[in-house]
Amino acid sequence: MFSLRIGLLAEGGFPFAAGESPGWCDRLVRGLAHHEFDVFAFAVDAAQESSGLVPLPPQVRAVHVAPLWRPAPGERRYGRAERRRFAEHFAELAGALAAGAAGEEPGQDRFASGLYGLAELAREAGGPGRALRAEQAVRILERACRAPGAHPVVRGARVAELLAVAAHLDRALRPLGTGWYAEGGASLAAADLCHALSGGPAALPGLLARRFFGTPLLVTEYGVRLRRHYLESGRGAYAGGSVTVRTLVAAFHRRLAAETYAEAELVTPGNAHARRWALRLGAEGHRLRTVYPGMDAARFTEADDAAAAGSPTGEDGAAGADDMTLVWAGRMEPAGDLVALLHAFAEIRREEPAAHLVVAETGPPAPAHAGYRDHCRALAAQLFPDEAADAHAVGASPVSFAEVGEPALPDRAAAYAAGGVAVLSSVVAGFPVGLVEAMFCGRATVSTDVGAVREVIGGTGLVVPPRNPRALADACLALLRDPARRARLGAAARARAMELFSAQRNVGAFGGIYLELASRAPATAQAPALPHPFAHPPEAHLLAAPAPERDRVGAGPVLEGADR
Amino acid sequence: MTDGPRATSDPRTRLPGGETGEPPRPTPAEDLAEALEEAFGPPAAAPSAAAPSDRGADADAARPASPAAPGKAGDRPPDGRAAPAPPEGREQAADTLAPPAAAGATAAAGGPAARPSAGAAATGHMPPPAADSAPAAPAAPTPASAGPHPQAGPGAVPSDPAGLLPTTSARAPARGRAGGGRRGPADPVRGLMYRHRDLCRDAVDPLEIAAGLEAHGVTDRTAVRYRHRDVFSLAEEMYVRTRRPAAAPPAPAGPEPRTRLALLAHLLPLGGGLLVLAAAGLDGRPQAALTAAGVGWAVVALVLGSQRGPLRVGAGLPAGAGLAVGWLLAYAVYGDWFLGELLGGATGVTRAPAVPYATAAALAGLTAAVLPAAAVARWFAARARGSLRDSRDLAEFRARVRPLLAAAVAAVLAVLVALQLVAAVAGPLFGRAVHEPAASASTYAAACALGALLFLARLLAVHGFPRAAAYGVAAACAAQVTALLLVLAARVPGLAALGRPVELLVAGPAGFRMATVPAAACGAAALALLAYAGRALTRASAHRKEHNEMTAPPLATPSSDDGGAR
Repeated sequence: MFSLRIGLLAEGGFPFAAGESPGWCDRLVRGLAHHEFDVFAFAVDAAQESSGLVPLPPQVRAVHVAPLWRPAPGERRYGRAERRRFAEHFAELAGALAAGAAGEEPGQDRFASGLYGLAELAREAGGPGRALRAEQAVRILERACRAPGAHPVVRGARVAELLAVAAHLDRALRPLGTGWYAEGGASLAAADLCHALSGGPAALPGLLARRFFGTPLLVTEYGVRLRRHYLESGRGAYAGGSVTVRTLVAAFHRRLAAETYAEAELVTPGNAHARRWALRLGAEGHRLRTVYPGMDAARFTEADDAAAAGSPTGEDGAAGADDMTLVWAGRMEPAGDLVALLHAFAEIRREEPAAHLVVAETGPPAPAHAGYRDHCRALAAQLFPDEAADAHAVGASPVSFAEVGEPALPDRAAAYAAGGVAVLSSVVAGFPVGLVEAMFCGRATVSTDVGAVREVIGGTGLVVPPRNPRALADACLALLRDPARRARLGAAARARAMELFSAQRNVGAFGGIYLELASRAPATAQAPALPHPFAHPPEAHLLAAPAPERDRVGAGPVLEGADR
Repeated sequence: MTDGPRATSDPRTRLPGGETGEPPRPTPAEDLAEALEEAFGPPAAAPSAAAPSDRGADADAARPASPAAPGKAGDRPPDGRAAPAPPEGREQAADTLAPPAAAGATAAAGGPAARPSAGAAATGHMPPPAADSAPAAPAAPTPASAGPHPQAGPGAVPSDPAGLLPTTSARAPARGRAGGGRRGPADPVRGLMYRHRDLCRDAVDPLEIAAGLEAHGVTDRTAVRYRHRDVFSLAEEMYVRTRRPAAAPPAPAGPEPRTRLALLAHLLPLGGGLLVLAAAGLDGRPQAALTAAGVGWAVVALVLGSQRGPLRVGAGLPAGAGLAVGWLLAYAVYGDWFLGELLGGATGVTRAPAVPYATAAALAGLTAAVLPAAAVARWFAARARGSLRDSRDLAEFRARVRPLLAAAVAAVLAVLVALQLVAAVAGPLFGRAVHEPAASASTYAAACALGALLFLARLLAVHGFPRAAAYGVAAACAAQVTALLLVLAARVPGLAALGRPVELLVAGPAGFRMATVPAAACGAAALALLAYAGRALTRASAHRKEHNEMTAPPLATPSSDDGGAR
């Protein structure tokens, strides 16, 4: 099988032991064992850098780590000529950041030229960190903010704000000084393809590799990096919430995102929601391809099998106790809107006194929302007092709270198996992981119409508007009362999940994309010893092939009419 | 499902994208109505709410067309744009015509946005409307509820309008208002802007508002209610319509935490100085030992004090800088005696070193100056940071900081001079007559110069110029060493001329003033550092702090919104 060298570009998370564990990256690397991977990772804080790496399979040849949180140790002071070059390129970049009010953005080319100019300088003379911390950078920023055509907000920038912007740019441009762009060694030059695991800083080395070596760039965005920046850079984030600083910093990230979307060969958003952002920032539709995140289905299949064995098929209509149970799984946070579900359940109980609700906590709530959990428990106790079958039995509340990991609910699959209908009542969601898990378990679902829910569920479950307990209750009642439909929907949901959200499909999609991108890019000059796919035009394998044109020797196949 | 009010609300369960409540078959009439509407779009001038278009019949969504609403003209049905007033009249008309029907119909609005995906659903089919129209019938028994409305085109199909379309929760308040005869707000975006007023005010561009709205659960479907194609265009309108205050200067940062420990640490060197002073009353070996102990104490205390507080230096201080400072201190203690021996004694240094009272007192004054110097450094840093906030450009900042720097140096000099004066005056109180006033004066001057040099060097190092600071201190050391070597070399026959400059320097009208050598060396170095500081410390970048409140926040780990990335 042909082997490609993939440069995996990551920021935080994979492959560090500390940080959100993005299992999909690990599955990707393990699933495409016939390719070779070089991981280029940015550590976002000290703890992460010192945490070590997750165990990696042998196809990962090397892991190069660069810190974003501190200056690179090798930074040196620029000489006179280098300072002049720096001033020129940084002025371009600063001009592009300061320019332009809302609306159509002029100056994207200025941004690109400044960015790549700085990158070339950094490639030859080391990262621009020291120059960005010096007075010269502040002076250039000041001039850019005072220039005609500058954004009105930044015109009155004060010195402190300019310093803050320079400090942020110092950090944001650290990927330039990593030394990954030299020929040979720990370099992106050897990669046939760069795969950025997220947008933003992680994609920056990919952009530069594309610039320097013509390496095709693939950007996967499961969460929109720019959106995350906006959410985190809100009031109080910089300089006590200085609008000027946030404007300039947001301009940098916005333009970097736009540049990424414009330059990447292919962007693979994880859902239509991420896709909208890419489109909004100027990505071309034909360079966007949604690749749904994959999840490990094996954990959930047992629950489904159990459900298939135990559940009534509907003819008899005798619903077991389990089948009158609703399951809600997630973290008890306001975004989950458990209160709405409790109110809905009150209505359900009025109609169906046998109904039960299992609230399975998949993790502790964020410290800021700890009170919400108590509130929910208190509300449940208020709405649903303990009930007993007769005068001699011990009563229990129809709403039971459990944490995943307890003996009764060892894992999430068990949580979903505990009930007949899975409910997702959240008011905010990106990609609804819990919903996909329920689908894998073959559960009929009722979910609120938020985020990517509609896209995920397709027609295999009920969708109600968010913040509408009565609609939620009605939908749940409809499913509780109709076992046949429940089974039908559950089976359909499971089939859909297996088709769209399995890990194999995800890995397979990326494998195909790798080959496709490699086939479109000209083969690199330095041919490795291994046979390289698409290194020779197909005609080379024919006996009576026409002599290739001189300028096409060694070049990849030219696909006329292909949508480049 | 039997009571009337419940019945009218039931359509909400039949939702876009999913299977529906009960599975009765859609009647041909309803299919026809749906097909008609899909073919011709929402009825343009539907005066009856029975033919609901999400936006046209949306009474609460009708508002005057805002001038700042990019990208939404196309989204709006003609009637909504042309005449903001009609919806209310329409609603009233519906009310008077058939109140129950109007209620039901308004409740049924809001479907079109959701419909395409309903069609795309794999197994889902359009909600069969008859499901709840049957229970609805008792609640709305008038023929008008199901009968044809003369004004409505597609709505004229004899069917239950309430069951025609699925609805969203937003219609619930609309229904309530229709029933109560109240009007909705004319401008729904205004309400949204009010709800998210902090977000709108602080946003730096429309995308930030879009991100914030999405984080609050606003989706493209919701945006349709505000007559926008998507959240982005809604956010653009909100961004443009928000009135923002002029950018305020950054909030002043709180003062550096002042720890009692740092205060103590800066007082500690005085103990060493007092030890040396006490030693001056002794003779011979005890004096040497006590003096060494005092100097050692002072050095340790200085090192401790510079670990925190306003004199803390980050990385970058050359290793030799500490040695140079040590040499300067040692010279301050024994340098004068050593130079005197070199100049006077022909046979080399043999006598036990002695520290006269003046030297000890000068040293004690110097150690006492550490605390005021730290306070001045702190004041200078704080004021300079304040100027950073207030200055509108770099030139202004320079103009503000230059007098600050001059004041700081002057203050430290004044403190030094005052302390040395105190030391000189206190001499007789200890019963120690000052034998040579001129020599003592030069000693006090040398102490002042040394103090100024050390202060300037530390100030430069604290603000990011450790190399320059080290050079300044090293230059003073070099000058002192050179003076000693010159005197030594002058003993070589024929090279006596080498010693002349030093001899001239120390020769006074009333005897030798050995301390002029360190005074000259340290003074010259201090002046050079002052000149350098005048340029370097008036730069804005000198007052950038590595980890202050101005730097970027740490990048958070991917949020749970990254959904699949786990």
